[in-house]
Amino acid sequence: MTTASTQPTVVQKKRPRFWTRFSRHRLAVLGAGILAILAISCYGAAFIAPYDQDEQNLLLGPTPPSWDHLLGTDELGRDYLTEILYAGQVSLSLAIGVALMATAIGVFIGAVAGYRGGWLDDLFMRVTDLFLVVPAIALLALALQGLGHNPLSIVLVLSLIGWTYIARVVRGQVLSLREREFIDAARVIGAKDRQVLVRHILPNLGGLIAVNVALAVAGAIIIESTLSFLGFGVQPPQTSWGNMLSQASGLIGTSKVYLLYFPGLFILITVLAVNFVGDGLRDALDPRSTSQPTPRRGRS
Amino acid sequence: MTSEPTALPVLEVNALCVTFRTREGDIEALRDVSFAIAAGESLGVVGESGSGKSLTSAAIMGLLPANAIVSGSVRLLGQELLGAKESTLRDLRGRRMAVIAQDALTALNPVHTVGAQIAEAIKVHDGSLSKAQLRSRSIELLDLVGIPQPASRVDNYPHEFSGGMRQRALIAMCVANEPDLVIADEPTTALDVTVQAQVLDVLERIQDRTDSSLMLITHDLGVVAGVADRVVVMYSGSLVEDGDVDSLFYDTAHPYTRGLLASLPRLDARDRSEPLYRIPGFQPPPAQRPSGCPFHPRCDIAIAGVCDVERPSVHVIGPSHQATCHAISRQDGQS
Amino acid sequence: MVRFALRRLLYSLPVLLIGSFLLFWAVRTVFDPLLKLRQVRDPGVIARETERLGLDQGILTQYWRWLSGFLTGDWGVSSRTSGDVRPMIQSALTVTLELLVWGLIFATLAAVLIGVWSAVRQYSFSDHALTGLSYLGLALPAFWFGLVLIQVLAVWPQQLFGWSEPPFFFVGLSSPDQDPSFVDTARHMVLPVLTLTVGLVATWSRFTRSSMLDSLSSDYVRTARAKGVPRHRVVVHHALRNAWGPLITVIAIDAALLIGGLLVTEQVFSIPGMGRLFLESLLAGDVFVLLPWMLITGIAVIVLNLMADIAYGVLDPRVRVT
Repeated sequence: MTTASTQPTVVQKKRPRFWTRFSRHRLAVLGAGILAILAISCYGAAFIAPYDQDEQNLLLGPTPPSWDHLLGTDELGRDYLTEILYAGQVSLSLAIGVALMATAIGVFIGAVAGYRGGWLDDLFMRVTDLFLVVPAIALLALALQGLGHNPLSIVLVLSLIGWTYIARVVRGQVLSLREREFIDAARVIGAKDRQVLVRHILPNLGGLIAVNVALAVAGAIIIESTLSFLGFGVQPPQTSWGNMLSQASGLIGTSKVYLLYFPGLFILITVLAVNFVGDGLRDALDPRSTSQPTPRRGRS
Repeated sequence: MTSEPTALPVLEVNALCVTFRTREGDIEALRDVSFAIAAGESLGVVGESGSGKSLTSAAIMGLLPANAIVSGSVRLLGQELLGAKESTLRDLRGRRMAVIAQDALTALNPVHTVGAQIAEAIKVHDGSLSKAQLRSRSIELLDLVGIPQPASRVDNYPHEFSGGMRQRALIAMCVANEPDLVIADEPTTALDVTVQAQVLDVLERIQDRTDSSLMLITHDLGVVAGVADRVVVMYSGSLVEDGDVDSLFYDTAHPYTRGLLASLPRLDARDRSEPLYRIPGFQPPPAQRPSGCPFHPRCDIAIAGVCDVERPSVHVIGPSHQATCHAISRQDGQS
Repeated sequence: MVRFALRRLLYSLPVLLIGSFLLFWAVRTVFDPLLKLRQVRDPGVIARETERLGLDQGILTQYWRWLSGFLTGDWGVSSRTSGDVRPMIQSALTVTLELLVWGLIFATLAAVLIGVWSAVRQYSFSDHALTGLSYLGLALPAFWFGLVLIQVLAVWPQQLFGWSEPPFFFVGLSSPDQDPSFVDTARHMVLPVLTLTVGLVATWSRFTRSSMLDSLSSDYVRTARAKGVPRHRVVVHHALRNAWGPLITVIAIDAALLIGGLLVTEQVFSIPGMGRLFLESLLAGDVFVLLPWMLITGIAVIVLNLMADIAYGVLDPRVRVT
């Protein structure tokens, strides 16, 4: 009798219909398409970008958009589109890294706290309360100042501060799943906590996790670019969309202000696309939810 | 159509049809509903959930959703309601006609006191009363429906009342302006039996005092037997039987009504070990109604070739009794 | 109600204490309070300062010393400006509070108006348009939005029309030479408030809309209509009155976000408030400012949450029993 190891029946029903439901959400499909184009352009910049990264043309200097340079050139005569695409690698990678790591931490802690309950759960709630009290940006800036500004510490710090939201959400869901009969059935057979969590509870969280990863990516892009803009994130000479904007912020009122618009537009479009995809995922998983844009949260 | 209408009937519904426009097509919810309520009369509207009883009351009040298409005629004291201007209807609502909802807990606004809500019912139709006057009238009404210590309870919130008292407070609010037509939509369903009796008592008392007509919507035949003068039975969006309460119970005509009565548990049942009768099958949802008579798949006297093809028309059985059935008109014709 | 508030405050104390201790420890580990002095390389001075500030003692002792100093009003001297910390924070706090109040009022009003309008006219063109704008508002990086606003609404019109001043100011919250007038303050506030609140208005208006939709389809609204209550009163007196409560809770939860947003906004618009103070102190490693700053901010968040709870109690009588 290996009931504990059979597939949880509650999940399988949903799978075949998921993609059809998702594809019905036109905005989500559009978002997915945009993200695909962005990802390919940025990560494939070596092949796609019209010029080489850091290819300077000091004689040319900054120029507005033209056929030669679709998004213009910056002060050093570098093609702006190329710069933005390479910077996109950094911004996107950081955001995805943070989202995955924060989600992993949050799901683990939230699931254990929700499932075990008791003092573990109380501790969890108090800890997340702590995180709520100090604004995230302040914590982040502080931590980064202390730990250095390299990409790894950025991902670490953002994840270690950003896991609380997903953890709370997962905990809530686990609390309700815990009372369902198939969990009782598994426990009666003698399945250990770890087995129950992994085989039965986690698969039922799949949809919730997917939606939250999308949310997390969107939030991470904005937080990373904000931090980089403030000077606490990605440091030059490495470029991300955020610190490109920090350099361009001094150009307000000049003819070179277009350098300000483009990186911001890329951030905007990326986040919009991710939000659409997140909405599509959410609607595909829960037919009862009304269509609303996913709320933007800080990382606490 | 009915007996001696010496005075103008309070409510006259003729060929009322309600169709909903949805993404999946048009759904005919109510079909050709016709009945009348005389002044001072109590009409019981009986049917299972989904038969269209509440929809009928919504249509009368003009509170159907935006995608509803209504045809036919609904006259309140001779005034046509269908197609009337919203401002006209709003004037009539709460003043000449009122609906007492089923669940007082959700029907009353949780953030306002009961007194405030009763006062509002009066004030929107008569702005001349002062706050003090409104308050004393609210207390009067609470007293009328039998709520103890009305002067202090008038400042309580809905959640501070018990179920039965809350229902009575709701009734007080609905009859504040002494409407000519009171529609009670399942007033006893959410309550337990002892409280039910109290609520029905209140309704009766109010009717006596104000001489209003009562349209009592319920699925409980027992309630109908005790309170109503006349009864109409609804099934799947149509009216199938219409008669005075005695004819309906003792001279039951329509096979559906017969089935309903037969499935009532009785203390004087001959053989108590026999299982309770149940009409086989179940009421179809509006989108899946069969052709012809909606009841024919479950009917024991359905005539093949007739009942499944053509919708039956009204057949008069007695001076104040009629049913919508092919088989009955055939039987009568033959006898 | 008073007991309720006191109980909540008491409950928050341990959180505040533990949080502030952890932060104290973190800040002390990351930053060296005597950094500037060490550059002078006078071992006598360094030793004296170390003793005066108790830097050689255990971390708990240091924390206790600092905390008791804080509670008695002695917040030390900034290592960056060499001025007293307390007046620095006080003036920064006043500035930030001004911006915060304007921002909250604007955001709440805008969110409610947009949310109610969208709910009452569900599926109409304006509803869809407003939905689209909210999507945009949620995806916008606030700092970039601020910069664009400066360019588009202040600098460009001034250049285009050749005015002597931009229509909206974008440096600080008041003009230095003039007496503060309402118009002057308003012209300074418009851009920062818009920047600060764009994300919040987007979220809150969507929430209000959905809360209103729930309210409008409820039984008590149906009853009100059946009573003959006119439309506008149904929307405001019945539906909105019930939709308020959940919105207040959301506003409270977002309070921390709001404070984070202040940081960015103050930086973009050179507003000398708490946010800017934090950033400057952080970059300079000014421990003496950072620590009280953290505590004050924590207290502010707790107070905001408490006010929201009380407001909820006022609005929804069902909650008052607890």
